[in-house]
Amino acid sequence: MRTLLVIAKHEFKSAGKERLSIALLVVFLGMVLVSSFIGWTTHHTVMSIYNETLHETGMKLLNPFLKASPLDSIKNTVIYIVLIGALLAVITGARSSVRDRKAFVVDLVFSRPVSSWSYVFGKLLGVQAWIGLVLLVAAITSWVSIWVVTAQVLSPLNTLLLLAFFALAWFFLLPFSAAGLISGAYGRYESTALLIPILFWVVVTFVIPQLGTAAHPTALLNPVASGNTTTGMFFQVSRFVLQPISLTEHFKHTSGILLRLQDVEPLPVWQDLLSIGVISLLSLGALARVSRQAIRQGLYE
Amino acid sequence: MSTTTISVNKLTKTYNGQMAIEDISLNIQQGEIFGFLGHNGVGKTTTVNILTTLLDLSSGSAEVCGHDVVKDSMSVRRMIGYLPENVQFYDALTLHENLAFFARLSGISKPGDRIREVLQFLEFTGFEHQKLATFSKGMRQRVGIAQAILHKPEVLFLDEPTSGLDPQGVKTLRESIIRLNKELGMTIFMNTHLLSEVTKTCTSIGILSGGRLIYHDSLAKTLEAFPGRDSLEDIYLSIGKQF
Repeated sequence: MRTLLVIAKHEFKSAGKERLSIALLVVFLGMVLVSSFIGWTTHHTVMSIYNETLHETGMKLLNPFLKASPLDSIKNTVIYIVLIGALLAVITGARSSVRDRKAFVVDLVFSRPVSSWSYVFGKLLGVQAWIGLVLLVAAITSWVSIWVVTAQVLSPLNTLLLLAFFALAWFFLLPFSAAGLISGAYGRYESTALLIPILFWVVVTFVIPQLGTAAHPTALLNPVASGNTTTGMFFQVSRFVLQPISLTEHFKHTSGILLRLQDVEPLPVWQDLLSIGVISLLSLGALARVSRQAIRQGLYE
Repeated sequence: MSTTTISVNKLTKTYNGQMAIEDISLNIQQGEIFGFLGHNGVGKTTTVNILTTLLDLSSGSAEVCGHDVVKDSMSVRRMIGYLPENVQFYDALTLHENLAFFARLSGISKPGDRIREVLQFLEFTGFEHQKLATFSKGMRQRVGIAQAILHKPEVLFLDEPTSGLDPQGVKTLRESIIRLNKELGMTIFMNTHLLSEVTKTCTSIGILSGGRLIYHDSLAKTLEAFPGRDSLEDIYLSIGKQF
């Protein structure tokens, strides 16, 4: 346990020095701010139309923004976590394994009383701690930007829901970090070690949801889960098969509930949490099978 | 009375059916500096990798400080220090950060004092806050020795420690190795193919050829056993011809 924590601390420090990870972090936090800006412009546009309509017609219409939760203004963050956050996790994970193999320090580490289990889980903990820090900064940024956009401080309940959303995001990103670490440990080339988890990200983020919902590709970029859009036999079957492993759709659905987004299907979240939990456990199981000999392999470039 | 620190019995390693080392048996006593000689690719690194628990053996057995390298590998790792050939570190980190990481992995929770002590022993102070990326090959080898002795191991495994060093670097490293043995009592197992270094450093030698140990004795007895031979190089070539 002690060596696991030493490796985790070292990994946390190293991840923060990776140029690629820092670049993605900047993009991610930038997009979180953009999300708030989009929320603000949407709010501003709807309010303008509302006021204009009132002025022109003299009618009293219900202001649609009165129904919306203040958390609604950061709803695009959901999709940024799926797109940029998951990409950040796979790349940080892969770079974590590749860094040691490339620096030829693996033998020095394993000549110490360090088990392969401590090594890989220490790395995962370090990567996830770094991602946790990124998400914490994103949560603070979101909280402040909601305050600025809506001109009101979030209530304690909404603050808790916001934190719960980012905690869910942390769990959601765990299989991506693990996939990156596994690929980084087994890849024979640095490029393939990075590309394979990116392929995993593409399949999980785009292919599985599309086959499971028959949604248009652009609909998958909607922060609200797509649901089933067809009654065709093929998609009914593929939905039945793929829905349990449709990680991003489960994340989007529960996020929609937590952020109190409108148009979210009122389905229970336990299925989502079960799916994310099982996939996370499977990824941890796969990580536990990474052998010392695999990590000791040299890279061919 | 000396005690056996490294005991190897009929050690064999195969890679995909290819024999890397075969039937190696040897005992190394506490306080020896053992030079493991042989051409490139004869299995010296494979032997060290097995003794440092980095590699599984195919058959036979080996013990380091009384601990079996397979059944009790964690205990072996607590007793040894290891300097691989072409040692590398985290270039983005400073010397102190690199050493602190390896010290903590060895169970030293507050390594600052120990790092200072080791660097002073190796006469390598003043670089603690420099990034490793700026270090020369010779400096890296000394960092390699430093990381290997941080936890006061009983046995030090060195794989071609002088490879690629300039004459001054070789001399400095040789002096460090001898001091570690004389002043700290470490048993040293050194892979090398530089016979001049063996003559100046080692107390006993083993010669590996084609994956088999063809000779093992103290350096003094070896030099006595081959009268008329001017150098260890002559002796090495003479032994090699017999096999």
